[in-house]
Amino acid sequence: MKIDKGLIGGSTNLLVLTLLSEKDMYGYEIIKELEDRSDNTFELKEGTLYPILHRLENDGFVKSYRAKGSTGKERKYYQITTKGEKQLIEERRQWQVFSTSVNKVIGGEKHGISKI
Amino acid sequence: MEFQKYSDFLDAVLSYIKFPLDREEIRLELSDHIVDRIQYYIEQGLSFKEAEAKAIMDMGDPKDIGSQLNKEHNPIIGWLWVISKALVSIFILINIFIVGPRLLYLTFSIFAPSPIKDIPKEDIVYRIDIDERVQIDDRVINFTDIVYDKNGTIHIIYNYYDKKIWRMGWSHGYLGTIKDDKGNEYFSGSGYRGGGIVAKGRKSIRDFPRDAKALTIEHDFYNRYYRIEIPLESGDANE
Repeated sequence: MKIDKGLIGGSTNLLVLTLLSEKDMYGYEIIKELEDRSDNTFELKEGTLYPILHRLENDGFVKSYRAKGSTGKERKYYQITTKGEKQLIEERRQWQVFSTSVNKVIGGEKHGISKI
Repeated sequence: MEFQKYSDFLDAVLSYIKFPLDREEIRLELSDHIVDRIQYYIEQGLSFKEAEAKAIMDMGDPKDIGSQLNKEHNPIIGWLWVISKALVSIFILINIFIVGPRLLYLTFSIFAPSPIKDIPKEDIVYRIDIDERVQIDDRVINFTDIVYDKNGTIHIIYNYYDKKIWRMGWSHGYLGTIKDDKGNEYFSGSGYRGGGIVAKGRKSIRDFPRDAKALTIEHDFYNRYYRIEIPLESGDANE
């Protein structure tokens, strides 16, 4: 199943920061990881990842450096910052609120009432 | 839009980026990505041409990517950043080469004795406290004391400083023509000056008449003019 890119648009920060909290990665690596973990559900246009990464860098959530990876080729790596880790916690919290709310709506009245 | 070569695709993306100094880095990053993708498709069994075409397709719309990247590479912020970095470097250099040594001088000049201490107390015939302030360009000269000693030498004690800390001006160190009230002019004389931000100086003139009633310093040098007249204690006031 393919998901409309507009839907994942709001959660790209969360997805990218989550991956970077595990290890430093370069752009192509992030795309591959997203594809693999989501069984190709997230098929975002690959080039649009870079404006997102550069925005995260401008916001101070990640920083970048050039280095040779295991393949021996030099790449621009991104690393999550302390500020980025705090942002990730916040984005996770927001996502939980959001997904719980969506579930309440689509789960019907019963689910909503049982919570009260 | 169809692109035959990935370099054409990169050109299209880069055409939206207004800040020139970031273009090369962005191009390199995107190029790395496409080359990795082409490599991936070739491993899947595609020809280079097919792989390249598919990799370009995967990237998306160059206008989308380029204009969004341009937002993150704002030329105004970019140039401000470049300029401020340059200014910081210049500022640091100024501090190291100009202000630094002057502060060092200042440290020493605080402990440097006043030139008046060079004159043995018992030799002093009379001493006059004065407070005459003159200014040449940004240099302020403050005459503080006149000392006459028993050898017939008159000493003019002064300090001086620049109103602008990074200026080292007044290189000629010329105080002015020194005259007495009898109409004698004194061109030569010994002295020294030195020190830090507020430096100290002494000008000594030998064989100055004991009974002179006034001393004038007239400075007329390249249209910079000042004249001060100091009444002297003649007769036996201090004896």
